[in-house]
Amino acid sequence: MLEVKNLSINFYDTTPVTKGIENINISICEGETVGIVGESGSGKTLTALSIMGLIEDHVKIDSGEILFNNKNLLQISAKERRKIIGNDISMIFQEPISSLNPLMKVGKQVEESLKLHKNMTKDDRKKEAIKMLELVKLPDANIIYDKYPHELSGGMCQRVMIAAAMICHPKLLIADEPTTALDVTIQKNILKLISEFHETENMGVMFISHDLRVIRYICDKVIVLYKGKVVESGTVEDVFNNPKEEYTKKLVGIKNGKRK
Amino acid sequence: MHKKKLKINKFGAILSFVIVLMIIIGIFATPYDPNKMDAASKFSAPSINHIFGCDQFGRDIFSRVLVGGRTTLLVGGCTVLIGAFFGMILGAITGFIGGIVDEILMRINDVVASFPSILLALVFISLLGPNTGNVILALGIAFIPSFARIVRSEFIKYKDADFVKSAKLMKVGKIRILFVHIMPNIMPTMLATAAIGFNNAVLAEAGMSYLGIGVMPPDASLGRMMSESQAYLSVAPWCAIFPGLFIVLMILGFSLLSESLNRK
Amino acid sequence: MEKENKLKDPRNILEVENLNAFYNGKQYVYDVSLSLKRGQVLGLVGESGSGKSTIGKAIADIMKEYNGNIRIEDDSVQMIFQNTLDALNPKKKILWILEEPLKMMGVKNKEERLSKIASMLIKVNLDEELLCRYPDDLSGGQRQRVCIAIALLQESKLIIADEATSALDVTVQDNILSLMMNLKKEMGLSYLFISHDLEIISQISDEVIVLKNGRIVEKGTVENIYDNPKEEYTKKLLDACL
Repeated sequence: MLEVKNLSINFYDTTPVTKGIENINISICEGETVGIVGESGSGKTLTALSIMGLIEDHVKIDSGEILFNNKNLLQISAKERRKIIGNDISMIFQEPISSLNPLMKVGKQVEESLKLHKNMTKDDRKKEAIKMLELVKLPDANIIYDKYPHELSGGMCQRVMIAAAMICHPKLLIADEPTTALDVTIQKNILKLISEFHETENMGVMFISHDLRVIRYICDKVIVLYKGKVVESGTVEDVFNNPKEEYTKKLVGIKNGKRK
Repeated sequence: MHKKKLKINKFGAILSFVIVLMIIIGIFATPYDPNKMDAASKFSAPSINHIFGCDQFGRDIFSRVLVGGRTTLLVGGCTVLIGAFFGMILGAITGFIGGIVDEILMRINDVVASFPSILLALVFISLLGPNTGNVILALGIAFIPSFARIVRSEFIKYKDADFVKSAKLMKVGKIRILFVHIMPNIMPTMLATAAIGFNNAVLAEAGMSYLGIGVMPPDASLGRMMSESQAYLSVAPWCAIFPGLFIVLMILGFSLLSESLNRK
Repeated sequence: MEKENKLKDPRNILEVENLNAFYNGKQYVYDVSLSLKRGQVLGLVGESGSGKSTIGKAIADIMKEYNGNIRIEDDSVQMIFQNTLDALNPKKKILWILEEPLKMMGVKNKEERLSKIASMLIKVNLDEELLCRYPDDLSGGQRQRVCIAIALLQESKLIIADEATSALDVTVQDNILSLMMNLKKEMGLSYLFISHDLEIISQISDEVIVLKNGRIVEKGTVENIYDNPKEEYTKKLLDACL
């Protein structure tokens, strides 16, 4: 469904040019959850942003293609891209409160994708939005609809973001560290929620995190990135129980908590 | 090391440089004595001899523009210095200390700020007499409030920073924290504000001279040159155009330059 | 708030009794009492809003609104923070940043300062060439080492680490924690380690205090808390770990 082939991106706002990612290959089939794990500078977020078309001018894609259902996202027109992004491919981000527009009611933000991609009446949209807010397990969805982001907790905002991302029933959800900024107890619930959607919608998930434990909890396959390159990839069991590369071994080893 | 490319607006930089250079050269030599009258050249149009033409007294406009520009730079520069110096102290005290001191001082600040700078200058001039020094003093005081407010918000931003907490743990005294630790961090904003202040000062001085309450004859002033040339606009438009153009280019150059320097 | 120098138990380096702390009048810490034995690590664990950072700031006396009894040996405590970029003055070179605490301690001779800094750099595993750089030229791990150096240069034996590794990459976290543990042994330090990360707390603490909404929920040794949690909330926290 999604195939990133030999993608290389570099930053052209420094001298010399800074490498972003080099020859990254990722493939996600329908209904698959693939985890992208890496530390800062590994290029994981850059990869996600390039799929969504959210990279800035000085960041250039030097080679490679991003195929979504066999269409190269890097070569389609802006119009065609607008039909896909937010509709077939959605993204949720790390900081829930700052990812939402502070001046817009939460319900309206959930509806936004519907407005852009589907032809529905105002009332139908509102109904759909409230339905979505209920699906993400927010209590009193019709009251939450009228709230502003700052009136909600971090966990609730993240649920709102998920509702907004899911409302068009995307085929692929890109989640960039969605639980990193949340408390441990909330984290597990959000992960369960994403998992549920993945099952009920048969949706593909690209889950980006620096936290191996999270990836193991929610993903089938994992790709390990280090300094812009793919270091290792495979099923979660393989990579965790049998890490082949040094770096992967290090990552896995740390999380097996030895007393210092 | 990967160094971030610094994008300086080249046009702004060159323009500013050229103008300042012209003015500096003008301190030492001008094509003609700016105050020398020559009846024969009265109202001559721009020519090879007089690039900007001559005014109603036959004085070379180019030379007068250079000298006038000097006054403008002087007034703008000194105004900014006064405004920035006192604004910084006021902002530092109110921002860092807060509380009732902050409240009282900021209200006084607001009162001064509510006076249009030209009006304030008028009051000064009428009380103390019209000379360049008083113009500078008046405009300087008029500019203190905006500097103070901006500096204050910067100090408020930094007073809870972790490196300030770290300094407190080191037992660094309050004054040292203000001026050695925090100050360097607010310099970029200060410089940007100073650039805007400079531009406003230039305009204010031009305006005041135009109204006749600024720099007095025979000192040349771009604003007064424009004021005096009003009557001759149809006959000798260059008398007004060149001084005006010079002001515009000066402000344009500095604005573009300071804006590009301020961009992250 | 009172600071008496005499600690009630001579084995302790820190004793806190009945600490209440506020921000702008609102209470965030309720009647917290704790003690830290010399050479040990006390982990303060809790979610956001638990008050753990506030307790740290009160003990370090870098906040205003608090009351209670805080006794620290030699009245000397240092703190390292979570956001390494924020913790170092962005406009000063590393050398200046490291000299400043020494200047404040009265080390007037520049040579003496440079020599102390040089030996400290070795202890925290930093290259001397970083001295002429600015904080944002350094990596997160390097910056945190600088922060540790700043704390140690001031010769405090009690160090409060407020989410000191939370903003770092996983591999870097591991290095910094190892460094901190080694320094603890080498220099006889004691840590009050504040974190939301239960796993890290279990790796390095001797005793653990679980906080919720400004109150202590459970206190005990690492084994007690992790293997035998008594309180519901503690169990819930441990359960939420993946």
